[in-house]
Amino acid sequence: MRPALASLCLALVGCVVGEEVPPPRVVPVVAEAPITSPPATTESIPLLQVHHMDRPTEVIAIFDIHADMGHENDALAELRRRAAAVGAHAVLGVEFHHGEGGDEPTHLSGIAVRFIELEGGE
Amino acid sequence: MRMIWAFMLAATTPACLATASAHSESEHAEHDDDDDHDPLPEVAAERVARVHLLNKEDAGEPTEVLGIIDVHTKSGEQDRALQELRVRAAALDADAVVGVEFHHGEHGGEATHLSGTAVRYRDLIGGRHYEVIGDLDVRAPMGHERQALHELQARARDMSADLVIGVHFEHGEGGDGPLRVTGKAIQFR
Repeated sequence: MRPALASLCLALVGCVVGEEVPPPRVVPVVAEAPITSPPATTESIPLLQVHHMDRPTEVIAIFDIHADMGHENDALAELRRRAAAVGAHAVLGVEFHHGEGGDEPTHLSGIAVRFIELEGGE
Repeated sequence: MRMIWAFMLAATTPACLATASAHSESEHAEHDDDDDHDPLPEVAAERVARVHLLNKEDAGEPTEVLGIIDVHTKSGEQDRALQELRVRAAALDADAVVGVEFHHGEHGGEATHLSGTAVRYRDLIGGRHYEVIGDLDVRAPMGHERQALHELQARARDMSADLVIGVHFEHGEGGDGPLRVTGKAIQFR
């Protein structure tokens, strides 16, 4: 079996000049059956501006919702709906861009991810 | 001479870069200025499907960095971008792309950016003890990812390093901000 990833973390973080202890050899791989929690409902899917979470996630889709100006909430709802449709647990790196001028569409984009488990127990 | 790129991505640490590459130096030289315009390689669909796209830089085990991929597409072509990211990673014989990020252009007419670091699972340290001999920090114009990796490797060689660990890629801000690749040069004891 593989050692805990925490020990690997401690071994490598904060490298400075001096003798380094190599990390323990681990062989965790992305689990084939990735889901560690049931698919989220549309309302519960977090839409986050951060690009990375502090847990393993697999990218499953990218969304770029175009909506008419003044329909930002519709775009937000559509983003959640699409995320739920692909079985996403969260959408990361959510960005909103206002259209140029008065009649260009707004853009709401993000990466849909699923939580996964890495063998080795992160 | 065959050069080696060997970046090691280990759990919770953005990696180690050694000195070995999947491509010849001459091949890199031919394409250093046209990362954005390389034709999409032909790769078997089964191989493409085996590439994991991971949001974090931590793949959960030691990895060797094979390249940095930054796919630029028009707004609305995000599905094609995702597929291109997989194909380009598979063409490098990568097992995964880590640190995947998507950046929308400022406006509808600007290109979107889908980037990440192509890696394969491989332990380049192999239990050896090592000494960190310096920090490396390379910046390059967007679209010059290979040049940045080469520069990182060259600087490491100048220091007589055996490997670069903790390799980390940062996409530039906006549509034309410089990219950044950092790491720590090490020597085995």
